[in-house]
Amino acid sequence: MDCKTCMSSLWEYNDPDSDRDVIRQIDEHLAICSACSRELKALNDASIFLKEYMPVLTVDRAFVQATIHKISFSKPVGSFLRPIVGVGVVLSLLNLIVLIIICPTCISLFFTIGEILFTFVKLGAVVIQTAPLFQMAFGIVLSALLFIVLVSIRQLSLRRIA
Amino acid sequence: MAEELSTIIQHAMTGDKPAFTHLVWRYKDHIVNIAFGVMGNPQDAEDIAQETFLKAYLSIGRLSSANAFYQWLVRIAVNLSIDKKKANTLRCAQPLDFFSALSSSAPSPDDVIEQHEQQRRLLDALDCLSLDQRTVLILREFQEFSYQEIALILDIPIGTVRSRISSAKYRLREILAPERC
Repeated sequence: MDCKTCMSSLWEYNDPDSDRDVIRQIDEHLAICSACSRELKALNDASIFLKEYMPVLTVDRAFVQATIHKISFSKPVGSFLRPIVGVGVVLSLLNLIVLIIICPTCISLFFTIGEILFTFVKLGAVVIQTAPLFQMAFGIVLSALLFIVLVSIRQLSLRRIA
Repeated sequence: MAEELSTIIQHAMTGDKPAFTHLVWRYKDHIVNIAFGVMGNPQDAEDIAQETFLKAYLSIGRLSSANAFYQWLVRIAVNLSIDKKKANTLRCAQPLDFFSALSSSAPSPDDVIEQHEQQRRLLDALDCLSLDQRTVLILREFQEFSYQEIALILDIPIGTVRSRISSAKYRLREILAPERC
C-alpha cells in the first residue's frame, strides 16, 4: 500500500465495520511511514474532540407536556376536506335526482350514454372472441402499468410522510 | 424489554395516546440531539423534535412495522432538520448563543468556560461542513447507526454514505488541526 492509498483509507481505520484486510494493509504501511501515522493521529484526535465536546441536550417534562398539548389539538392532514367532500357528494346526488325527475331530455341523454357504453361493450366482446391472446396480453400490460403507478404513488406518499 | 417496547409501539399505532406519550418520553432526548447535531441550535432542535413527534403521531397508522419505528422517527427528524437548516441558511439566520442554556456538571467556572470555548470551536467546525456531511457524521458518530441504517434513513446508497463520512472526517480534521495538513 502506498501513502496516497493509505491516506484515503485512514478514516475507516477505527471503524468497527471496516474491512479487516484493509486494516491489515494500513497497519503494515503505518509500521514504516511516520507521515501516515501522524495523519492517523490527527484524524483520531479530531474524532475524540468531536465526541468529547459535542454538547448533549436533555429536555425536561415541559417539553413532553408541550408536545402532548400540540398532539391533543392536532387534526390529521386534510381532515377539513372531509365535510366539504361529503356535502359536495350529497348536493351532486340531489342535483342528479332532480334532473331525472323534471327533465325528460335528461333521461334520453342517459339512454344515449347507455347506448354508447353498450356499443363499446359489444366491440370489446368482438375483440375477445377474435383475439383472446391479444386481449389477455393487453390486460396484463395494463395491470402491470397500473401496479407500477400505484407502487410509485405509495413510495412518494411514504417519502412525503417521512 | 424489546417486546414491551414493541407492544407499546403497536398500541400507539392504533391511536393510543398514552402509549405514544410513553414513546415521546423514551425518544425525546435522542430526537432533540439528532436535530441539534444537524441544526446546531438548541431552540430549533426542540422545535424540530416537537414537530417530529406531532408528524409521527399523525401518520403512525401508516407505519408498516413496530420494529421500524425508531428509524422512521429519526428519518422524520432528519428531514425536518435539513429543511429547516436550508430555510435558515436562505434567511441568513444567526445562530443563538445557547451556552447559557446548557447545564454543565463541570466543577469550576474556569472549566465551564474552557468547555464552552471548546464546544463553540466544535460547532463552528461543524458549520464548515456541508449539510450532507454534517448529517451523516452526526448519525454515525453520535447515534451510532450502521451504514445500512443511515442509507435507509437518508434514502441514499451505502457508497454515498461512506464517501460522505470519509469527506466529513477529513474536512473536520483539516479544520480542527490545520497546522498538520
